[in-house]
Amino acid sequence: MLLTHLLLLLLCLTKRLCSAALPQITQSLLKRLQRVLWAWDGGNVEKDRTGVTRRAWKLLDIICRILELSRSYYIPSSHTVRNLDVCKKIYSRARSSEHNDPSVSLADLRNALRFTLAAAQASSDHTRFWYHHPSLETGDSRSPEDFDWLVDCYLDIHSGHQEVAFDILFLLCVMKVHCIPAKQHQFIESLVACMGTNMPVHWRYAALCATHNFREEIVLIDTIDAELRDMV
Amino acid sequence: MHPSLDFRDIPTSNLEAPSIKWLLETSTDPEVFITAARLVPLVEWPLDLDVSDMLPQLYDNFMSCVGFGEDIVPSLEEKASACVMGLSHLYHGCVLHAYPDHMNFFGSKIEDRHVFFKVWHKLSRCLTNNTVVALAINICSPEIPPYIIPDADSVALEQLLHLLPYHFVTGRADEYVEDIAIAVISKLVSSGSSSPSNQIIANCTLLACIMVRIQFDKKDIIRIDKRCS
Repeated sequence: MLLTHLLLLLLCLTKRLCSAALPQITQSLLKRLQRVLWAWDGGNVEKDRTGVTRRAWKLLDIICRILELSRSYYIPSSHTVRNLDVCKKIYSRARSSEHNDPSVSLADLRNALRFTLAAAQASSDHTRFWYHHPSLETGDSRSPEDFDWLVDCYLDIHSGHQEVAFDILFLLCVMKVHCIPAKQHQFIESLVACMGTNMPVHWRYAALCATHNFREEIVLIDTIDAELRDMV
Repeated sequence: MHPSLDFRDIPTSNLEAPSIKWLLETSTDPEVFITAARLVPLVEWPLDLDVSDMLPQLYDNFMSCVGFGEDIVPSLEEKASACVMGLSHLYHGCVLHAYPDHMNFFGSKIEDRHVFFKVWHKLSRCLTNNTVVALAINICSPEIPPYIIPDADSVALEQLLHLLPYHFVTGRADEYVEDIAIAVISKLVSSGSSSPSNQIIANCTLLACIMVRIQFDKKDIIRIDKRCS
């Protein structure tokens, strides 16, 4: 018995800090996953020969959860734009093909958006809408048209898939994406709907923030119809 | 990509595995034996430490818990369970050590998988350990899918989490094992309100890394899944 206790004592004394490896493995996981997603050609992952892409898609959901849990251990990715391009690919794939199960594509889109946010260490929490998110800054390399699809996607799904829509609205707000004139009417209408008293408070926050970013365009609308002006 | 991991090792940790090995080989006190066998999955087994003689020995100890009725004697259940844990864990380590070669670790008289089949049959009542044995059977014969019991508690899940990386590293994981790994990770990282410990997050991250084929050194695999503070 004495020996057992001595052994246990020895074990207690020599506890290793394996969580010291956590930053390294989290960082590797993030980098690897980004690379796999970027390399995805938009095709069917089931036909992937090496199996890595297929596996990565399968794991995306839990990897997002892992990244969210170990948020303080990795450096935020500076590749938000590239990650969003993957989301765009999923969205256009979902729109173009009728054979695909739309709920599968939507789940993929939700995971990819969640991954984009987790990689940038941002969370679509309503208290964070007004914060500065350096990792989500797009710089001048991209034109507003590159993010048009976000507005399209938002307008497409905001009534049916609130969780995904909220993440998109968050991105629209913090990335200060501007809406092309053709979509303005519809977008303002949806924002006004979000501010309704029947909406949850985080949605109202989001809509307020989006409207704030959008204020210059709203001022410039001259052919505003009475209904829209009332709403604004 | 070949990240080299930073482990703040203290030299004394090299003593843990040999002392457990020595205790298992020499102790006549059943309490000491059970404690030592339970510690097997918790310490790092250096790749250069030969443990092949421990496998038949742990198996014999397990079989000594079987009574005349071909079942585990109730009073020896604890010992049997400790032996199974140690056996399965060491076996996975041996497979990794020998990889990419295949070897029969229980000698020439009996095939490894038959050893684990026997263990599995004796254990049929004790479900928690069964999944661990099923994983050992799977690493011998990848065509036999392992399983996970629906109401596995976190202890059982952590045992599986320790063993699953070996299946992916040695390239013996098929879609069944993949689904089990995904189920184990998602159960552990999304377990309700309590947020999992850093050790569990680290082990889940490691498994996810290995699944998307980030290359690690064998040495890192045996080290990282151990007990941490």
